[in-house]
Amino acid sequence: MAATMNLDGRAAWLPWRISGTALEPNLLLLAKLMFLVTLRGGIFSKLGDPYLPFADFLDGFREHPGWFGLTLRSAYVLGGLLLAFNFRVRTACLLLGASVILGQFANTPSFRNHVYICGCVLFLTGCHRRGEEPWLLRWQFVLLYFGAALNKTLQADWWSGQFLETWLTREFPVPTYHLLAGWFPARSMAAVMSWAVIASEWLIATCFAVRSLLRLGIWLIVLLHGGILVFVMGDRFGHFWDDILVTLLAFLTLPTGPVDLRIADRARNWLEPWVRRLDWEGAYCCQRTNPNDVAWLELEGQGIRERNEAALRRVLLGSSGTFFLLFGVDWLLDALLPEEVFRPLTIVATLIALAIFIPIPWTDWYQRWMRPIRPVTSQAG
Amino acid sequence: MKRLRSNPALLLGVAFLLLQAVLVFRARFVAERFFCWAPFDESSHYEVKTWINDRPLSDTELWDRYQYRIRGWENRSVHNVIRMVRQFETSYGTNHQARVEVIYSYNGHPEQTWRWPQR
Repeated sequence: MAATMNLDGRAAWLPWRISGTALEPNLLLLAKLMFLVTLRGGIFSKLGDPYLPFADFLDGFREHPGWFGLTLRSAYVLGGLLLAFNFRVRTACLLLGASVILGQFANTPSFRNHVYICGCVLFLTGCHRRGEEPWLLRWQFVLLYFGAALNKTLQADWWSGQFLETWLTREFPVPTYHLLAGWFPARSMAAVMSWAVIASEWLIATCFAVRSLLRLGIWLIVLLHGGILVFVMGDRFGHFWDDILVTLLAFLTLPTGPVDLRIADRARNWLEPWVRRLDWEGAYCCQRTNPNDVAWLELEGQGIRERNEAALRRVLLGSSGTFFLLFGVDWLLDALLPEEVFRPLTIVATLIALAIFIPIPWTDWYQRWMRPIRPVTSQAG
Repeated sequence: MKRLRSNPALLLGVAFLLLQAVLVFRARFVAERFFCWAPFDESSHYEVKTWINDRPLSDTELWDRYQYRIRGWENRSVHNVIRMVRQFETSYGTNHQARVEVIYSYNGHPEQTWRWPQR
């Protein structure tokens, strides 16, 4: 088993480790989280014998009841175990992806887009070759948003706003929409929102197709789906919101070597323990900043220099513990809290996350605002 | 191309993406919306009613039959529901000689009824 690239020499087979495998750390993290998403979504119980399959030949397996379902579940469990212990991770992803996709293909009534995308992403992660840009996953996004945009563009009810009006007033009544739409002519707000969604999806598909626009595409996805999540009161559409966020990890660069992190004394007490808790790969070397430095946090390493919030964002996004912890807390709260409490909490968490991760230089703005206004003194001639 | 031929997994990935692209374009020629990345594009309210020998099936019997919600909202296309019903009646239920009605309204438009057997 390859054990190179470990940052701190601890066993590479531990489930929470993401270095030292045939996949880049961010892709292994993506695969593990996607596996957890499917597990949480109850996929195991949905992997069964064919029932009204999309391809008639699969009905032949109904003559031997139980075997098809058992094969799918076994593939899923085997893939999950291989992935958990970082052994043959690409094969694991292929097994997981294939079992999910085949499970969907074999059972028309249980087909769900938010499950199908998990299978696609896992399968394509298994096809990815280490060292290359994750272009298979990038093109998965292109197809996803192209398909969505094309379908909407060809529907008159989307251009007129008829679909959104029906959806937001009858099927899924949203109080905010009711309130705002009343200020405008009938259905006009729904029409404008529809055009915005169609345009966004075309733009996202384009951005992911053109590699140089990838960053813009990622932000458009976050803002589009984050906005929808907030607007529809925390509905995640199955676990589609989770699926998309996890898949975006494909485009995140995690540290592959030691990174210096200098923390000012005033931030040390609260920040350093959290960095150590989240940095499961041991990438960050915490040190003191120069006392004369204005910055409360400085990050340097792997050709990157960041300070303050930018450095904090990079640390949070560069620590696998951040994602496992967020997922674990989310799962726990979802299990413990009633839906009417969990959904608003999801909205609050999303807004906080957006405030942290949108690259706004909060510290610089604060310091500029707090800087005293110096009186202008004229020089005697 | 040489790179693809030398890496079977990569070839598999490309083939899978191409298959998805074919399914997205195929969706332009059929009424249902499966495997084409088009969820939450239509808001359809529907109800399925089935009779065998003029006896209406109960909700439980309908669930056992189609393994899907027999009334409510469908966010993909109501033709997804119709497809499932048609597929059952032409395969597992072909000897039942059932009579089915799917009463639906999509995007707030006037109600329509799909019937099986189709005349």
